[in-house]
Amino acid sequence: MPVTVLVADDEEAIRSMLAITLAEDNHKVLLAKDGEEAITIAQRESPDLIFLDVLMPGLSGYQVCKMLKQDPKTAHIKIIMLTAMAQESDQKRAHEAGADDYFVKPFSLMALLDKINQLNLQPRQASS
Amino acid sequence: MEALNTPAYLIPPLAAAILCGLLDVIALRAGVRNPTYRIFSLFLLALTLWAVLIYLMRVSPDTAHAMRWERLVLPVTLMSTPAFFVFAKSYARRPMGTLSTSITLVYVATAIGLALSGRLLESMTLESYGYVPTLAPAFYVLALGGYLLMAAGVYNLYRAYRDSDVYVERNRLLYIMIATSFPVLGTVLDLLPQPYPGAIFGSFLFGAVTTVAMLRYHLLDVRVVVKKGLSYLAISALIAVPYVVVISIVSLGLNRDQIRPDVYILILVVLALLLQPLWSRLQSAVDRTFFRQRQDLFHTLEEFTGRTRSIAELEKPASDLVDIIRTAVRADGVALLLPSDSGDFSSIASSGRESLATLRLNRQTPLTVWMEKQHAPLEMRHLELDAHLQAVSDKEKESMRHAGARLLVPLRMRERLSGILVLGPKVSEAPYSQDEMRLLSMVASQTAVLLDDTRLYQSVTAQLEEGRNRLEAFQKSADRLALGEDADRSVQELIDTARTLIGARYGTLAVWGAKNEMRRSFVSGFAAQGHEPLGRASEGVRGVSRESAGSGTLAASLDALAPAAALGAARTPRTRLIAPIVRKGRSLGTIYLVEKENASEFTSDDERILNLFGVLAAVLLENINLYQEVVLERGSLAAIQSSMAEGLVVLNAEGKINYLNPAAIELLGLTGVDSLGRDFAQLLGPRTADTPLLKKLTDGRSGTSSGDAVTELRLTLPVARELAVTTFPIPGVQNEMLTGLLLRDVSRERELERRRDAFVATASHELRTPMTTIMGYSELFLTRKVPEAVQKEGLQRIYKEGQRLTAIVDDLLNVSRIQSGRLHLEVTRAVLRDIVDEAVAMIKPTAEGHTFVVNVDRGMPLVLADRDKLTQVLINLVTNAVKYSPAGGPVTIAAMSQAPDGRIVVSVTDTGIGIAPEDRERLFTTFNRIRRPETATIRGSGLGLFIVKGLVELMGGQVWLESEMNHGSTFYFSVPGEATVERGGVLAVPGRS
Repeated sequence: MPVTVLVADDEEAIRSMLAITLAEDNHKVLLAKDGEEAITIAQRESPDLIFLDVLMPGLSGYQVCKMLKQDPKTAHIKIIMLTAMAQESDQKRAHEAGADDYFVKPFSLMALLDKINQLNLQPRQASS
Repeated sequence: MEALNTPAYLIPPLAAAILCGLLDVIALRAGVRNPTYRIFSLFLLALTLWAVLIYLMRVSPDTAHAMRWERLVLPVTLMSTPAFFVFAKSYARRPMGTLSTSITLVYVATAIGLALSGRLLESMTLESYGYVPTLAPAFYVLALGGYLLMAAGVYNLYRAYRDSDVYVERNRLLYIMIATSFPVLGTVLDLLPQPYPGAIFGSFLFGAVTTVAMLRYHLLDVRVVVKKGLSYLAISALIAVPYVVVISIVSLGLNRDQIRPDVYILILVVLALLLQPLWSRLQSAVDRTFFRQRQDLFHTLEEFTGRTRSIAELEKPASDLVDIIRTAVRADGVALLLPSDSGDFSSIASSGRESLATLRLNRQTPLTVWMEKQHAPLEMRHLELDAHLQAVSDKEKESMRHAGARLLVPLRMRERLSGILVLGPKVSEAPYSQDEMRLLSMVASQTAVLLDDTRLYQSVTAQLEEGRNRLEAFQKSADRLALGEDADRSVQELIDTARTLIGARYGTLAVWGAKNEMRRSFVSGFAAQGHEPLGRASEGVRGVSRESAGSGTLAASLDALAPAAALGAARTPRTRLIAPIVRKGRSLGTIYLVEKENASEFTSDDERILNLFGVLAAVLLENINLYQEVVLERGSLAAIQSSMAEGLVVLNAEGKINYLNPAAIELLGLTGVDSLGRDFAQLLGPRTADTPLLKKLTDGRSGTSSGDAVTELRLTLPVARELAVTTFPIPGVQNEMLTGLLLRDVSRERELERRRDAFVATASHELRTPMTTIMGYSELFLTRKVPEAVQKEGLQRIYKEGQRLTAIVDDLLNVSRIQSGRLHLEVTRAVLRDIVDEAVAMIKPTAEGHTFVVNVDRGMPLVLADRDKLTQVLINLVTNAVKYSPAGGPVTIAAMSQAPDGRIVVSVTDTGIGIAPEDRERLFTTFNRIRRPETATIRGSGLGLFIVKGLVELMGGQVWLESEMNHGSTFYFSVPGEATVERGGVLAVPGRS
């Protein structure tokens, strides 16, 4: 079932790769190049899911995740962290920030798409 | 019949009462603290009471009254006898036995009981001479018992008299016995039927007078007392005559037959007062007449005795003695002759006539032999008269006559003649009286005792002194045992001390080695004869095995080996001494002494002392060995402790610091802190955040576990430092558990580890990002059918990310090459502007929001550099400028030719976050990225600036920077230009391959 996905990553290559892949599965894709932009879009568009990179200019992925999860308006949004940090401490931090799951770069695009289906997200209308 | 009122009847008891009362007072004053005197005064009190009661009886108006008083008189009479008995016992220093005590108590009880029941007196009659009691038989029995008690008392006194050797004491006992006999005799007479009880008067007076004599002149002999008593009698008579005259006048003048008794007493008192000056004058006149000479003599003796109480040296009492004697006997000269070293008698002190001082008497002449057997002084005139003295040579007689000797008094002690007192003639030229001779004999015997005492004292003192000297020397040697600083000197001193103390001419101390060989030898007393005997002495003891040491054969073997001149000079048995030096059954050496200094033999004392020295030497040698071992061990241990890089801390069971080595002081930052004895956890508490760890370290129990434990302690003060702490238990001397902490500074290792970890994390991050793109597109293309446009873009991205990966790997390789010095440079002449433009072109597409200003003149001198490396330097610097100015802004690249050596200086300026001064140092090291909140999200491997620095320096340039926090930074680097070469500047072209 097509859902709205926000991809937040400062790497243009990854953004466009994910955009193409998600569009292939008919998901609606929103893109943000840093943390602040991600929050703005998330609040405005209220996507079903956010793929959130950890290391971005400005706010880090953890900070963004925490803020969105603390905001009642965006707390329901599923957040999957994308991290190049393979250490256990990073995964722990992701959980502490309230992330629903995380993928370690380089990740499998197909696994990513499967994850969306597993989440069984109910698409909802964008907020008023 | 009327009661008698005549003075002769009434006065005697009254006088006796007064006299005894006074005596009692005197006796009490003389010695109230002395029990003997107290008993004596009790005896006198009884006599006083008795006299008073007699008086009261006599003045009774009728027999009935008289009988009442007489009933009291009798028990007092009886009571005085046990009182005397107890006194006599006490005075004779004979303890009251059970028998004596019982008899006395029974007697007292019986007497009191019978007296109170009136069984002692039957009746009273008035005769012409007064009241006469008719006594009951019981009284006679008791009286007999009383006399027996008195006799027993006298017997006790007699026994004391017999046993005493002290002249004064014997005299005193004799007084008491004689004095006692008078009242006893008087009472006995009174008991017999007789016309008049005059015995009371006489006996009492005599008893009292002798008692007075005894109390006042207790040093006089009895004959003097007799004379004295007689003199007092004369005085009494002198008083009695006016008394009788006055009474008669009063009786006649008043024409009254009967005078009241109190009037008599009044008259007596008035007379006594009036005649008192006469009495005193008479007494002194009598004293002068009778006793002057004797008194002088006895004073002399007393004075002499007093002075000789404390004997320390002979000279002073000797000169005192001759002075006193000369004054006492009024001789014109006195000398005291004592044996001199040669045995003859010569004067050691003289007074008056000087010729006496030169007199010498040979020993073992007939004269001295004779005097040795005599107590009495010898008068010179007897030399002619006595048959035994005919043998005395004329020469001797002549010399004595010439010196003016008149009287020779022998001083004898233990049947030997210890000295002679020689007196010249009396000043009056009169012969010496018997009294004087006796006095001189007494003085002589006392002097002999004194001389003997002094001799003993001096010899004892000398012995003590010698003993003390020996002890001190011994003690000194013993003290040496504690010294280890100079072992040889200690041993040398020991043998020297032993030799001098014992008084030997030569001494040797040999030290045996482990294999019986002589390891060392010390000699003493050979110095004066040069080195040869010394060497031979050592040779003498060489080869003596330790089996023979300490056994009797040693002496023989030593003698056999020793050259005669040195050790074996004297071969008689007691002319050498040997003591083994044995410790714990092992013979360490031998001490050997030869020839007693004064040519006599060694004594058993010497032997004992040498054995003691043997013991000392054993301890000393053992101590030296131990000391050397300890010094070696301790020295190396201390050297290790002070030189090792690791810190060593020893804590006691309470966690207090017992020891810490210099490294520990440095590592813990305790320089200048007096940390010994301080609590380790408390001391370091402010320096670390690891308080629980600190507690665990210092908890004694953690250290006592069997294994060593390693933990890390992170110190924050005074400098951040990480220490690896190994704890291990140390068993203490007193069974307590100490904890040892071995500290190793691991700050550098940890920092390197951290940097490596950070690099790995960063590198992996840097690698993973392009890998994500590459793998993502590849996967997409393999699993999905995508439009061609998408496919093309994807492939382009894969290619680009591949390039990026290559660049990162290049960076890593470069770092590795720079670090190992294997970087290859291809230096060419290049136009700087071209290189700058190339670098900017490469970065520009990825730097949105940044503008690039290039102020590099194309016409400036060419640079001499490896073009690729220079491009990399610029790319790295410009990339950094972009990265660290996240807000965007201009990045300015400028270049100018430096005047002196033609180097080209290139600068890259940004308007970014800037670099804190404290971070600038480590900016150019590997894997080191400035950690600030703003840089947390800035990507970088931490290699860029390290590579810049490495490359620039390889090309012969330098890197430096200027920066202001939050305003931006400028990085400068220099590279050689064309002019540098022309001007002969140093151009570093390593080009190592």
